[in-house]
Amino acid sequence: MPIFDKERGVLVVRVVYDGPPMSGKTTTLRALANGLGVAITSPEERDGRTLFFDWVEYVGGIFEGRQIRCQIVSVPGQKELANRRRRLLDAADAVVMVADTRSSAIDDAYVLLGDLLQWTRAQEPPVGVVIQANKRDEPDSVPRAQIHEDFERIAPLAVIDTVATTGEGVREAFVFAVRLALDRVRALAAARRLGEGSPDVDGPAELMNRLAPLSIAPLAFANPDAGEAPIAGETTSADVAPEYEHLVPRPRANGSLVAAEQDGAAERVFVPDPLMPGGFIWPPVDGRMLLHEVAQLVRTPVLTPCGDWWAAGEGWRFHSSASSLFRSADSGRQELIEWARLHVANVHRLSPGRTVILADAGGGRFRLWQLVRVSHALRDRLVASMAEASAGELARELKAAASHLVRARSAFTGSDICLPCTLWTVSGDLQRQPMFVGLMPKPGSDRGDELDESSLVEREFLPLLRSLKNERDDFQTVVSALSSENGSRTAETIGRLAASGV
Amino acid sequence: MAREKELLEVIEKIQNDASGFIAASLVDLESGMTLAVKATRTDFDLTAASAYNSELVKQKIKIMQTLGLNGSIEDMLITLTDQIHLIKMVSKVTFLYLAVDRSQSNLAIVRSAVAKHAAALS
Repeated sequence: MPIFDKERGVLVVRVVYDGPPMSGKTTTLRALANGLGVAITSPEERDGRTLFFDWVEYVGGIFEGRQIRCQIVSVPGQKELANRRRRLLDAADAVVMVADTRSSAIDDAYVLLGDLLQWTRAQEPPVGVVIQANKRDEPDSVPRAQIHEDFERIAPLAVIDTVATTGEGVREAFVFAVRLALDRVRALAAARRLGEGSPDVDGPAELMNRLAPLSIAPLAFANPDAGEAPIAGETTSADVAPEYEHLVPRPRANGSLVAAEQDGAAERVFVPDPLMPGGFIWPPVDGRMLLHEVAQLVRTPVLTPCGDWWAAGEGWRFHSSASSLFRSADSGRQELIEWARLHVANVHRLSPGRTVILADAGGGRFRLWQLVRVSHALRDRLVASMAEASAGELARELKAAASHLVRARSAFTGSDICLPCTLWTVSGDLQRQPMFVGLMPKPGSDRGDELDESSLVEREFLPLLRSLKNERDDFQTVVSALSSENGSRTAETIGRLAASGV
Repeated sequence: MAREKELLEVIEKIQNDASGFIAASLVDLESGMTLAVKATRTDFDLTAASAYNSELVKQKIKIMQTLGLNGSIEDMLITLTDQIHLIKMVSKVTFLYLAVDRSQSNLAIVRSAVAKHAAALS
């Protein structure tokens, strides 16, 4: 979301570089930074692939007498990092979609563009997209006329030819994107929704803090028709956009899919089997019933860069950590039993619909999985309220949610396992005792530093309040309503945060 | 539109023909962002100058609209005590901004150098 940074007297806009993996997003940003004479920051890479983002900052241009401060960000392209991609795109004022135009790669760009446009068009106002047709110097690049015609069929967008390795065309594409961002600024200004204040992310370090906690998961954009708000770390019922289906590995006829090598032998990907032997499922009876349910889903876990396995969608999450592979059934069962004991000891704190499975991973090895039915989280409730409730109702909702979060902290503290207390992991039903709805940590997980009540409320609500300030014209009315009534200490904390912390 | 490399080559030709060349940029009118830049002096903030010049052009367009004038801007020439600045519209959405040292050049040289090469910038 663009914002007038009053303190510095600049308009801050975000231009995001999106595109399939290895299409040249990072190369583009490096060339752009070089051309603009500014630095680039890339917090983390592995084997030349972006894991979080690349960041360039440039002050140039002018809008209604104010200089434009461009935050230029490229997203990670790998499917497993889609959660981070989504968070980065959420804040885009314009998108440059970098397409690898080689004949072997161009289809990925068409697929991604279709998915991207579903989201950009659903924003209010819409987010502009310019296509950067990259790698034009490659011998097998698709002819220019063909590319332009193919993209035109998907959507009438500007297409700019580039060779990112030399910087050719990169600046032109960037300037075009800035124009699109300014169109959006004008639309927001006309609707009196252009925010003023400090940008919610002021540099790469802050952005890194936002992204680091996000789980690694495959995530396409929410289906605008599904009626569900997307949740970080979770997909909606439209889990994988139809255009991505051909990218999702499918099990072979014999039920196995060799997807990763560990200890020199390929691992069999987990396929829920309700007929698996007893002693490998917890809880014994209910767990098998849940497996029956889960076996109906078309969910294939994927191996993430950090070594965890993950799948999500259709109301379920599957997770297995990298260290949950065992060389024998016995050692796996010991861990299964320990984890089952922890679940039992915490059953009154945990959301229902959980099962722990020790699955055959091939080669005599076994992998421990947890399958968790998705439950409504506190954040889901607040996001819905932010969009729909009146100022007074929203203020009451925020206070009640903060109190609920603090009660959750107390409820979770008594546990002998670290249950993270966040807006994502606390249940959203304020009429009931707070429950933990997230993934169960493994036995022996580090508890970490526990925050006091005020710090917890601040950590969890400050980003939300900042979003609220940008999105609600009546934010000051909400602030007044938060501050007006004498309430609990928690209610005072949130009132103070809204009045001064954002 | 010509590619950045080609734009820079054109600007370099203008530099060769315009004695006293200080700096030149091709600027996007709407955003004030530069599409190509060249400067011989590090103390000449071409990025900022280009941005503010875009405001200047936009203000001039507003004035013309207020006056009900139907024509369009071809160029704007600003004579300072020690420099000459020329803003040349190369398309409806881009302009060339050129600054030269007045002691080494004159209006005719500046206009001639730009007229010779400006078409290649669109």
